[in-house]
Amino acid sequence: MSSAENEPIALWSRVGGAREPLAALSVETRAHAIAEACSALRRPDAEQVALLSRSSGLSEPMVRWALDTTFAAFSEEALLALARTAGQARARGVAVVLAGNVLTAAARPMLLPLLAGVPVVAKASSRDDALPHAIAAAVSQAHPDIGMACAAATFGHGDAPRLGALLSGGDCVQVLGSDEAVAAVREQLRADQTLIGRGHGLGLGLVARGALELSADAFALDIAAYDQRGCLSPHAILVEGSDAQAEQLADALYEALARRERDMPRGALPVEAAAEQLQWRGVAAARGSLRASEAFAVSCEHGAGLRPSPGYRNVSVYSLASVASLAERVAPLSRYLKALGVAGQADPEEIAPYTCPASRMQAPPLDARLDGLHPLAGFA
Amino acid sequence: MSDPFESERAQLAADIAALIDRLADGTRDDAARDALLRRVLRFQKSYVAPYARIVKHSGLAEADALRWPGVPTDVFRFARVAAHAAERDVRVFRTSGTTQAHRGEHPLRDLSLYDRSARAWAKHMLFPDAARMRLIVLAPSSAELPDSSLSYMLDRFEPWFGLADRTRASVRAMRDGALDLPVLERALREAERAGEAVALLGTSFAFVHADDGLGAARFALPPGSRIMQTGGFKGRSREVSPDEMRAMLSARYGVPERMIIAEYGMTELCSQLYEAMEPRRLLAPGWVRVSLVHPETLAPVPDGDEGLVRIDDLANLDTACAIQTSDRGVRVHDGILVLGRAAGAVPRGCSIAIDAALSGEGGS
Repeated sequence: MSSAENEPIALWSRVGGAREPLAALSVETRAHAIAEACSALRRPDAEQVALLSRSSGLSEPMVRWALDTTFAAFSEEALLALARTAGQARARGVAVVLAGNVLTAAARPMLLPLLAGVPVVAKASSRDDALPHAIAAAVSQAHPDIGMACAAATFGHGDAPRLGALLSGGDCVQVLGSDEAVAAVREQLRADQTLIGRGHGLGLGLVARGALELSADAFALDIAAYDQRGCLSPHAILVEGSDAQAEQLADALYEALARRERDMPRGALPVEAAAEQLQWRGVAAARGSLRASEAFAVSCEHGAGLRPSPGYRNVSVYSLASVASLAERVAPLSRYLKALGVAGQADPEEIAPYTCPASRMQAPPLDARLDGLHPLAGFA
Repeated sequence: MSDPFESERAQLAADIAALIDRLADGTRDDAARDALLRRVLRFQKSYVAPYARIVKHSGLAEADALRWPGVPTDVFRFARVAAHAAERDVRVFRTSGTTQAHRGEHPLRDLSLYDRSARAWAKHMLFPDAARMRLIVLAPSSAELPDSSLSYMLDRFEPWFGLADRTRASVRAMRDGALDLPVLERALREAERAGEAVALLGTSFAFVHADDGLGAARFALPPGSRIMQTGGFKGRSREVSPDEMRAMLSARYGVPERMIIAEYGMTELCSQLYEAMEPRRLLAPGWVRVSLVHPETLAPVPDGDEGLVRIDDLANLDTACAIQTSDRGVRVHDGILVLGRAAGAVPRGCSIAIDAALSGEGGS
């Protein structure tokens, strides 16, 4: 990559020049091109998979699953249906600041502005930048005019001049990352800029009475996906019923995670995460029951308050007296709750912006209102 | 009729005290230490419920007591780790509560082993050449912070190592949580005038605040003066690397760098480690076993490899000897170098850290 290709000022100049040609294309043309790019992104070659595995820390099968699941949602029909629910483009450019914890988190913030006819420049995480660049390349391949309106740059989070240049070029700014990262960007914006901040979050699972048998495999997928590093990942599963039923699910979940480990192994565990895992598992063993393998663990801590896990396929199971008491039970974590996966027949109170069936927590449909916002909020 | 628990505890306490006394001069007898450690670990497995569950979960046999996992420090935040009932506590030390919703608790029914251990190793590492000297303390007293183990230890230093003479009595240069700069400066000038060595003892962030507050003032403390600095910064001051800290203290107070000694202590421990130089490393007393373990397998790492610090402290008789920290370390000669904290350093993007979620301190 030449230095100009990584300089936000140069990238804004390039995508700004593509604004009118992009807007002049019909929404059908844009949806078709994006769907075509996503179709290509679903079928990476071995070299791309290896690259993405190295940059993300996920195993190669996990990378394949993540790409396939994420980009499958970007069908032409789904894109058109989504576009029909929004009005005209109202932003001239979208600046995106990405985080490195979820491989495919770049897809929506980079592709949906293009669907709305708005150019986009994304700052990739310096730890994990392969996919944002691959997205930009795939869009160029599918439709060069649209590709001219889409760019990715890689620079460190401490590079204030480049970050300033990136932010100043967009009248809409999307930030994915910690609450601190969102707050830091907010401080740098002008009054006329719109901020869409997607900060800290976590997910929880709910097993309705009578659904134990169905739920283990489904939640094992939600936990294994992205090695439980995402803000939709379930940290705890609540089982409507007794402590014994919670233990029963914990046993089944442990077996299901073992099956997942065989076909979708966990990636490397950084030493920092291993240290957190060691502490978390220690507490679980000391005050409850713990089923643990090298790559995953399930705990039951009866009578204890909900305790989030360190991710990397470590999860707690708790009993829940009734679905009606769910909101009260999760209240200490409610500020951060972004997703609730549900197994069985239950109609829980709306406690998370995204509620879905178990097994779909990490594969939201294109029109899902993650963070409670319309997917095109801020720019259309 | 004698209580088997109390009898066993009393015997272990006596044996630990004897070992501390025997090794107080820095000699080592690792075989004796490990033999006693085995007995204490088995005792604790019998009477400390969370530890018993951790050992049971490990699946390791009775004969493998020294390989049983340590108690991760987080366990002290979520469970009571003690062989005795809460009503017998004479002191509960608590971890600082700056960022964590649940503070770790180390409940003690008897402070005699704490005192014996802390005094013996401080004498050997900090005051080997002087029976007593004036102490200038940059940390709150235990009257202000009764649950701080550091404040307790520094309070105890006064009768152990300080001067009783009223005019040269120990000085507390921190009150109501804030540094008392006039008191500090006056004590330092008095030491210069009197030509009598002093020991300056405090937390890292207090020394940084002092450095920021003292402006251009420089001191030339008399020969034999020393500085003990301990703890991290916990967001309470700007961060200063160990080398910068040593240079800063030496320049400010006129104390040679070899007389600036870092202390490594933890709420969950009754014993402390002190820094020695050439090469720079932390040394544990002979009644403490320090090992470095792999964070996933908990197996000891080969010499020279980085691992997580595990400390087995015999003075922790009533709670848990085997403590698993989240600090990264590497073995250096006969000691260890602590490289920083591993847990809490995970880059997580939008995924929230456990502590932040539990404390509601996620940010904006």
